[in-house]
Amino acid sequence: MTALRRQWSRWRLLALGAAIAVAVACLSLLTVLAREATLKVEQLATANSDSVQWSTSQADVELLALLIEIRLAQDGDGDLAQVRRRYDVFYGRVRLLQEGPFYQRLRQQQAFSNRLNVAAEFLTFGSPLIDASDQALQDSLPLLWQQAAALRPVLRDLTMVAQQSMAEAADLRRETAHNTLTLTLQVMLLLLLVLVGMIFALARLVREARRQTAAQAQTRARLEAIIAISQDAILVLDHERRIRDFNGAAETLFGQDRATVMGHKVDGLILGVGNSLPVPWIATTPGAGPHRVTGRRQDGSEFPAEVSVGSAESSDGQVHVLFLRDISDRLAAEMVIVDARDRALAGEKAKADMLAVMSHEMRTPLNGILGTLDLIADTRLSARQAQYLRIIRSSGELLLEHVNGVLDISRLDAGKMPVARRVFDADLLLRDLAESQRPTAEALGNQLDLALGSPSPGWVIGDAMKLRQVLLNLVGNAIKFTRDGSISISARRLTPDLVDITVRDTGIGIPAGDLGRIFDDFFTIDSSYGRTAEGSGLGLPIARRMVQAMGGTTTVESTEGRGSLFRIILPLTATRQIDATAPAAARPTAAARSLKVLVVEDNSTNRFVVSTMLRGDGHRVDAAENGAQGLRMAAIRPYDLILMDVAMPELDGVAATRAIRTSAGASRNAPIVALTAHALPADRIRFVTAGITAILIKPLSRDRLRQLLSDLAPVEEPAAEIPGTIHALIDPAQISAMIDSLGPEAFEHLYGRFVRETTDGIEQITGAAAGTDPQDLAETAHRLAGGAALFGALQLRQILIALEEALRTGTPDCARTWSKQLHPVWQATCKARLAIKTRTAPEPSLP
Amino acid sequence: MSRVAGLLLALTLGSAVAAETPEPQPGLPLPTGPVVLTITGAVPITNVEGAAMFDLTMLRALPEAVVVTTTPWTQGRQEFRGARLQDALRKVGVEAGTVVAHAINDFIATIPLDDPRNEHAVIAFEIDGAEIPIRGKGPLWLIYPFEHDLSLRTEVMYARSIWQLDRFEVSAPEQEVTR
Repeated sequence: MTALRRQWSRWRLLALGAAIAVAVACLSLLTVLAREATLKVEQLATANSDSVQWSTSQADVELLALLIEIRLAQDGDGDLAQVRRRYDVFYGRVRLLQEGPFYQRLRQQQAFSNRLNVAAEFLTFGSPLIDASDQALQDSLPLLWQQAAALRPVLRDLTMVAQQSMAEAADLRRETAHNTLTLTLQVMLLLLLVLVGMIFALARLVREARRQTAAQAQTRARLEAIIAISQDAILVLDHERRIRDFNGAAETLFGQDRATVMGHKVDGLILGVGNSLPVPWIATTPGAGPHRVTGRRQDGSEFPAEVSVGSAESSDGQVHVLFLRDISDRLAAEMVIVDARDRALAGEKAKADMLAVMSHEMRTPLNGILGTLDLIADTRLSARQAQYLRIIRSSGELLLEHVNGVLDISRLDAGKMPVARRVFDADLLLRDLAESQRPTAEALGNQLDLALGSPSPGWVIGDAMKLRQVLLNLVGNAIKFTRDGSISISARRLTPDLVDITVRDTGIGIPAGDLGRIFDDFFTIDSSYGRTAEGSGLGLPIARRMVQAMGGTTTVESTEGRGSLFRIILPLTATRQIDATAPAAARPTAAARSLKVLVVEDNSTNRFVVSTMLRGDGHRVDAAENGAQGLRMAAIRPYDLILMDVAMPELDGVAATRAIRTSAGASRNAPIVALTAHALPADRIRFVTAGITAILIKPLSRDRLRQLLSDLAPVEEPAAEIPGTIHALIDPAQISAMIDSLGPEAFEHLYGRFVRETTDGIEQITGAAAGTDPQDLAETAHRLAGGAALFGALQLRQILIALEEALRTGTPDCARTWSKQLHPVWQATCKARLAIKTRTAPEPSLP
Repeated sequence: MSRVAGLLLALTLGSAVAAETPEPQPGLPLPTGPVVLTITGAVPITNVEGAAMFDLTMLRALPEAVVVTTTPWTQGRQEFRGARLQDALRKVGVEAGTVVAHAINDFIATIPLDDPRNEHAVIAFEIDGAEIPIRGKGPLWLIYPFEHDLSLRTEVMYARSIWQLDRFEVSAPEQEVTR
């Protein structure tokens, strides 16, 4: 619309310009023509033809005068001087006609020039007579008269020819003058037309301008009405933020009269959020979305507001238009909603927390029950008692499973279950799983098959524990709902990064309507034998959450009465097999030798269970009821192992460990294993920095305890270290345990620190000046030995201990021997560590 | 034809004036050679009864003036030598009024003395160093430097440039140019 109008006005401008150009051209042409016309008129007025005609006719007159003088002289009345004078005048006239430039055109006419020649011939004839003596002239007067008289008709004709020629020339001049005048008239007429056209155009422009003015007035009136009745406060500011307009809504909102605020700065009325600089956004972000600001009323009270800023160019420079809205109500409403949401979330969290705490609290007594059952099983029992015991035991284990399930869910939901990335043999894992589940399946008349596809998953990097858990849940679920049918597990590698595992059964299947809900927490199918199939309804949700945590997907297909198919697709990157000296998958047996173990545990049941288990395997056990007692006992006796509960009143396990490590007690270098129900990554770092060697997650079982003891107490006799006995450079099991406890990232962090500290320390010992206090060096060696133990640097630790011993007993030669070995051994240790760093030791099997 | 009759009358009158015998007058010397210019009418200084007569010697005695110009009546540029009109008139005490110039061929031209162009007017008696015969528009020719100024190249000035000049008649009232 506006574009069209603009085009129109441009076209009009062009037309006007053209008209003006034509008018100017006409005017200049007219000027030229007028000058020419003036010239022509002047020529007509003072035509030199007049003098030409006069001169030609004068020739005749002067000839006549000569004739009269000749006749008078012949008659004796005149005098010859007058004859001569008249002759000379006539002579001059003819010469003028012959030479004068005015007569050039006439001379070009044959009729004129011929006759002029006749006159010239007369002069040629007459001049000798006139110039002769008076007497001779007197005698030749008749002859002169005769000749002059004969010349008269010639001169008359000459005059007539000139007259006619001049008349023709005059006609020509008149005609050109006429033409010039006509042209002038025409041009004037054209100019008139152009002027009339311009007048019409101007009239149109005036009409248009008037119409536009009216339209603008209407628009303005409409805008003013809009501003006046607007619900939003509207403020118009100039570039100095002075108020140029303030509508009714603004008056109400700010409690200010328009007249009062007009021309004042807006700064007192609108503040930035949080009373920051006043309205800086006007200069920076015109046209941007709504800004949150604070408005201030006349009475000083403030309100939250939202403002949109628009900018426009006006005749007074740039103006800003502010649309302001009080958003107190909206904010209040939002607050209510946010509050409600927060409360709901808090309630939800409280519920989840309670569930987790309850489960955790239930686990401790359960451990007591199950542990005691283990102990009872070792006593002599009648067949009936043994049967009862089995029932109690299976019920207890089921209960523990449920509690663990709930805990897993909470931890998965809280993201507290980190996903491990370790190398393991997935094929082996699947085979073991199938093997372990087959008896259960067969008990229900089911056949269980495992089909490893080609290619099979093989060695992979991933979280074996979670994968096993997922498969156990899926297979367990399949067995539970199948009678006298078959369960098939199949696994194959899809890509180098993806593995596809399916669990298919020929069981009762899942109704189509329930397919979408089977992964919901606590969902159980109400089937004919639903109740008989015990279950918390957490197996599938846990499986799905774990798959999700590992970055995979779980899908299910099912036909009611025909069976179900669960499929998981997991990112398990293929890797090369490692021929590690993996811990035997076989059930751990009791440690090869008897150890001195200190159990620090405030819960008497747990203390009793753990102590009894250890004693049952032939170890010597001391028990402490709290951290302080444990510290005292560790100071007195050198233990091979300290089991330290973390959560204890007063001195807790972490503090006690730190105290033991920093003491000069007998057991300051003993491995300390923390017992805890849960350990977050942050806790793990705290534990390790305090000096804890490994972490065991409760509940403790006999198997795990045995595993731990056999890891810590190899067949050799570490306590009876003989100087000179060369240990293996590093202990991969210890490193694995550390990685297990800490997680790879925290481990790398601590390992880096260990390397730096050890390098510095060794430098300090080997580069020590002669007079250095051996006790100080012994302290350093002691400190380094602690770190070496922690990171499984066996040989280094042995040398450091021997060095410390030598320094403390004052045998410098011996100390020098040991300190010389520090550098090479440390370098070899670092290299060995690097060699196994590229692959991670296989995960120790945990339930 | 009436024009021709008028001219004839003037011609006879002119002859009568030229025939008068000069008489000596104080203030202006008498001409010794042939009279070439006669000033009559309202002339304060005369050398004969009611007229001032000049011969060539008397004209030569006036400050010399030279005009180099072309004319509509001659071929090529020529050098005209003579006396200024104003000098000649001042010599006989004429400062204002109108002068009617008469030629031997009875041509007359009216010259108002308040015309500023008069300062250019020269009464020429030599062309290119030679005296001017009657046959060559002499012996006197009132000439203007036509090339000098556009305002001189008009019909009026051409008409005032009278040749074969022999008399000035001075009068206070103006007169129409009659040809």
